[in-house]
Amino acid sequence: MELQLHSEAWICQGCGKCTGVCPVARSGLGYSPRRLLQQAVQEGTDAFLSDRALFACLACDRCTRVCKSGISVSGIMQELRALARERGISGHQAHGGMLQSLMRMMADAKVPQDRLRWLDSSLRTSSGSDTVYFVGCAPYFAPVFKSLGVRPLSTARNAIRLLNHAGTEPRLLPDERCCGHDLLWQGDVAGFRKLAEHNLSRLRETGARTVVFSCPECLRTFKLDYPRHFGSLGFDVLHIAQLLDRDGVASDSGSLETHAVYHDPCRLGRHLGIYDAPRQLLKSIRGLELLEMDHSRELANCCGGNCWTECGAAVKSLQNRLLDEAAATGADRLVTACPKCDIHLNCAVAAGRADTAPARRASEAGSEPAAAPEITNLVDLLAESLGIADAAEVGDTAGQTRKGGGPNAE
Amino acid sequence: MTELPRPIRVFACTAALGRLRAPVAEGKLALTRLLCVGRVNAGMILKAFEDGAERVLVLGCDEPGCRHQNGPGLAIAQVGLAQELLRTLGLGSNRVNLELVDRDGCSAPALPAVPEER
Repeated sequence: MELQLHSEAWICQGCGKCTGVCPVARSGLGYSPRRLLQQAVQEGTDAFLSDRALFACLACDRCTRVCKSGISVSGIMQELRALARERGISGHQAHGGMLQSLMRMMADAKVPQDRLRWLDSSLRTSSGSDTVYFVGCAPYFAPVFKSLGVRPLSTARNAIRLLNHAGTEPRLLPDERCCGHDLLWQGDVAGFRKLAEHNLSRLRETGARTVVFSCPECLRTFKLDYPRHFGSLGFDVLHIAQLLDRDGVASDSGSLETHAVYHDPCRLGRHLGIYDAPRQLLKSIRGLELLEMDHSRELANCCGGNCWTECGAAVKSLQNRLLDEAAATGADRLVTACPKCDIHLNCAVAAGRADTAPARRASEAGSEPAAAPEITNLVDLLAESLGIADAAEVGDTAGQTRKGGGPNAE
Repeated sequence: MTELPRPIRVFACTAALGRLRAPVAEGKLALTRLLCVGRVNAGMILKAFEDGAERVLVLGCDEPGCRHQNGPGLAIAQVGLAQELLRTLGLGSNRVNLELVDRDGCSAPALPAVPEER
């Protein structure tokens, strides 16, 4: 099979727009999309297969949106990382490798998951429904990131409440697995395929016609990567914002007095082109004024998520840049449609923003820096505006009481 | 963690290790020595299961005996997290034991039972 790299690198005109908009290139880590393409032409792939900068790319696709030749650097990244992995080279795993272990363990068909303990009787689901809600990794994220104050299982419950509100009783899969997004982008194609085959066979058994996602990464993987590896899905895939917008939940929407700014997650925006449905839903909330950051839609900032690898100062600086832009709008809510943006931005807030440029300028001027707006998942905000939001933390705290110790990023 | 999978993986604080009167050489235990039990994290524990362990024992000193301030507290948090994740994976939270011992005492920590068929 011819590498995408080989077919695309030669059409690079060397204009450098990609590197100009790359959030990682400006962090000084030594990664540059233009250099990667030019090196590929001049020296072949070997030059960077052992270069750790290969794993610094966030696949945020900002470069692709400005490229006049239409080169997909993120697509090239997928295949280069697979080649690097064959040589035993991979990115540095954050959180002690815990999340990668979870993904690979889920790829084992014999693992008998118990992943729906967070459901309660107020949530209406139906095993006969032809609409499946694909929950994603929230049951694992909830205990891992509890110390950040994020509540991914509340988001999952709120998603079901919103679907119920829209007249849909979704079916849930007790044996759903990780979608494989993170393994694929780390070059573990075999692990990705195992997870994908499992999910596809379970979903096809249900006879589902529509699968709804609250996680943009899962949606991207189903919509773009599964068909590339396994052919046509046989069912429609939608982000919950698309379904709610389509089904007119907006017409009898709720109210919430707030100034909100919407952050476009990379996978939902640049990867899938879904910019308007979340904004339509937000605009339909009475009392909510929707603001925009300097960089939004196609040029939105990235939360720095990189499949739980290569976390560090560079990632923190771009998270802080995003938070600063959001704070500068005067919004009191920063709304995202991605659970990983939620986690990463809350992590940046928890790590403290005292050393960011606006904070330093404010401190020199003797004033307080603008506080970052409260980070809220779109699903949670919609449920809150309708007065149906999750109050309890059922399942979020199931198991042990933990004390001390953050999420243990290393 | 590259050797052959053994049924029990032990992560043990060096100071508490003297209390482990266990047949380490018998082939049932794979031992990882840590400077303090506070070094253990949920990622290490999950990796042990991914690599084929049946049970994991985390062994450290009790709170007053720890030479590194808060090792036991950190271990309690991380073992608790690993237990919760294992429960969601459906493997059962009881596959991980945390034993915090008085390192100058004389009672030996309990070793987890290994299924017979192994």
